[in-house]
Amino acid sequence: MTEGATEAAARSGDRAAWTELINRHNRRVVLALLARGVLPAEARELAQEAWLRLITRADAKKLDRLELPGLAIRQALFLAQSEARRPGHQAEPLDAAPEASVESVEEVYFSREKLERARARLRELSPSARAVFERLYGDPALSHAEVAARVGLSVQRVRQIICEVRKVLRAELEGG
Amino acid sequence: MSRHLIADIVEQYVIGALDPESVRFVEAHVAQCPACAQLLQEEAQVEVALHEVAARGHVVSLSSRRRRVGALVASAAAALAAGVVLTVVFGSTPPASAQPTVRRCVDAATERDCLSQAQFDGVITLDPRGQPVVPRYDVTPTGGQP
Repeated sequence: MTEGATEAAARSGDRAAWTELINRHNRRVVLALLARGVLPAEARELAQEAWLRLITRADAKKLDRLELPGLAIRQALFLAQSEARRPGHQAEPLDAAPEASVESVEEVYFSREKLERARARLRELSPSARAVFERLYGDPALSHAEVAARVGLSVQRVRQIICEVRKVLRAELEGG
Repeated sequence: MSRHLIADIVEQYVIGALDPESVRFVEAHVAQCPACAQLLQEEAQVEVALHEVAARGHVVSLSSRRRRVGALVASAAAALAAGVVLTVVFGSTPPASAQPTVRRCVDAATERDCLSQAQFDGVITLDPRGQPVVPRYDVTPTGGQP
């Protein structure tokens, strides 16, 4: 089933479709929360609450569109911001984000120029490294094992490549 | 806390390469160690950005976003000045002719819930003081990436 078909099924109340979407996208939602300084345990809880809210809205026929993972990330970050504003909240406040954009996380952390430089650097990598990177980051549903199977490498080698690629690209992202 | 996590372990955590026991160790540690929690946050930021690098097609232009938000506020204010409340919800890639929705939050008692819901729904809102509140998220697909 395509992503669009799965999303349509989920909006119409198909629980199996929701399960598939959550399995596919939940890691991105949790990552977005971690990137805002939410601790892992709370991040998982907030992500779960975000999915529940989306399902509830879909059940109430109040979900006109379901663009994932963006919508789930927005919902989770919104919940995190609301939680941080609650009186008596003990944790550190969420990092203030320029424009407080809850979706344009790339603009919050790295400039567009740096992202473009990282993209350009990515094109210079070996085909196998690029294939691993694009399959893992371009399609969140793929696990390390799935990527390894598709590109014909061991899981350990895939993880080595991921770390090597991350090192190169983060140098571009964090460079001056 | 005298010892800190090494960066490699935190990176392995973020990319999902640790075994469950190590995951529990890292999570228990960062819950008690602000320095390592900061390191985890930074690694997660890189990871989020790398997803954006791979996605290619959706690049947010902050300057263009500001222009769009400004235009939306202006059109909302114009519509309200004319006594018109528009009722079209715009998506993440609205057509040029799309009009913004304006929602009134009528009293202070319900303002917070109203604003919260409006923000989630992605509509422009007027708070009880009549100030436009603009949802602060949108993505402008730019395409054009090779």
